[in-house]
Amino acid sequence: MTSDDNLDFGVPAFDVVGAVAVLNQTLEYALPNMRIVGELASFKIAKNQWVYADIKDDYAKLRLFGTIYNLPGPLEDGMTVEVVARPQIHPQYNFSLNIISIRPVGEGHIKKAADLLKAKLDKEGLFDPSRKRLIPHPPARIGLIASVQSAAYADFIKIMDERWSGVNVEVYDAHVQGEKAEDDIVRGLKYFNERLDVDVVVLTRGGGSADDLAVFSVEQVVREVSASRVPTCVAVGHEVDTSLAELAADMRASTPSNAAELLFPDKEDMRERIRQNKFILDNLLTRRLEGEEIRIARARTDLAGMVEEVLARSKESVEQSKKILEMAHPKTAMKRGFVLVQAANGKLVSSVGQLQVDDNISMTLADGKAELTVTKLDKDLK
Amino acid sequence: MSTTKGSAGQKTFRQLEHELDEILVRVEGASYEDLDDLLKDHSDGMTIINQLEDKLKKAKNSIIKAKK
Repeated sequence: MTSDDNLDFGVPAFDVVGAVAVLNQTLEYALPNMRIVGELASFKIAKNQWVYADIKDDYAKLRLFGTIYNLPGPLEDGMTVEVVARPQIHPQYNFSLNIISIRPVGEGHIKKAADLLKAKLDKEGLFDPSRKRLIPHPPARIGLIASVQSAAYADFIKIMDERWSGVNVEVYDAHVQGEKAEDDIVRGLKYFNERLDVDVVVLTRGGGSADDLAVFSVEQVVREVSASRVPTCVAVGHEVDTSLAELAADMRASTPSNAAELLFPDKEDMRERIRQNKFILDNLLTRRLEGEEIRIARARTDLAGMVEEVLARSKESVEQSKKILEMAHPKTAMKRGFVLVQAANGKLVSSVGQLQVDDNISMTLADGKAELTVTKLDKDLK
Repeated sequence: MSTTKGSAGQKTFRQLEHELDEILVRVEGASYEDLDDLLKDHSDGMTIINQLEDKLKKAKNSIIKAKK
């Protein structure tokens, strides 16, 4: 039998381009997407845009093709990755898997990928402590990105309600692991950033395996956290390795409950602190007042003392003046035997020169008066 | 002599002291021709002294009150 005979028996015949088209249609119908886990090899990025690589195991190797936007972050040869891809035959470059998503799997590989991304983003300054902003404490309105079915969500809300009240919480229900997680989280961050009416965006989930938490170290998520105009708090329930989103956030918490503890003060603690502060203030004020009272009392005494001194001096001066005046009164002299001589016209006579023989004069003593006539004048009395 | 008066319309302590000084200078000078002038100065001087003593007494009482 010849090849012509085969055609005759209904085997379809194509030219090459037609065969490629039919094969692609068949693949698209039978296997539109496929998930493959294998080792990354020959990984390279061309023109800072196109990604070429192989995925292989011990027995086979397949070609991968994609763009850098499909990457979770830096990858390198030897990593075990999970690829979701669309199989396709290219008219020129043969069969390849067009990458839809790719992510490292296995704890070691995830960590390695995170380390590479961390080094890259660190160099760009995304984790710089100087970028951290203060979050209002307590915030009045928060945007919460979490899975509402999760224990993490319940824990956060429970602790928040226990500690504080009156908080306006808006929730963006998001997948926080798996294929949809990256998109959900990025959309959630964009949503709250466009609204700009929340004080802080909290991104949280509970603990899990390295695979479960891998989305928190995906480049786009980390960049979105870093670029957020609204301050961010990222709380992932684990203690060993810190995710890159936590490093890029303004605040990091170790668990969802811890995030609520950090963001909201405890009402009872606050009341106790206010009581203590009031007690301290009362004491300070009382001591200050007592000090002021003592100071004023001293000032009062000092002032009174000074005024009393002035008064005493004035009193002494007045008494002295009084003595002088009393001494100057004619009666004081008369009591000692002196007399007051007056001429007939009543003028005081203090000199012999004012008198002549036969002048009538009066002489006033302490207890009476006498009328006299001058009989003799002696001007030379010493 | 200053004509400034105290707040109650009376002469101040300083004004009274000044007037008393003037009287004392005259009395100590003993240059009176008329006995009545001497007696008037004496009487005025004693009046001023009474006023001064009254002011001092009031001031003292104020201080005692303020100290309490």
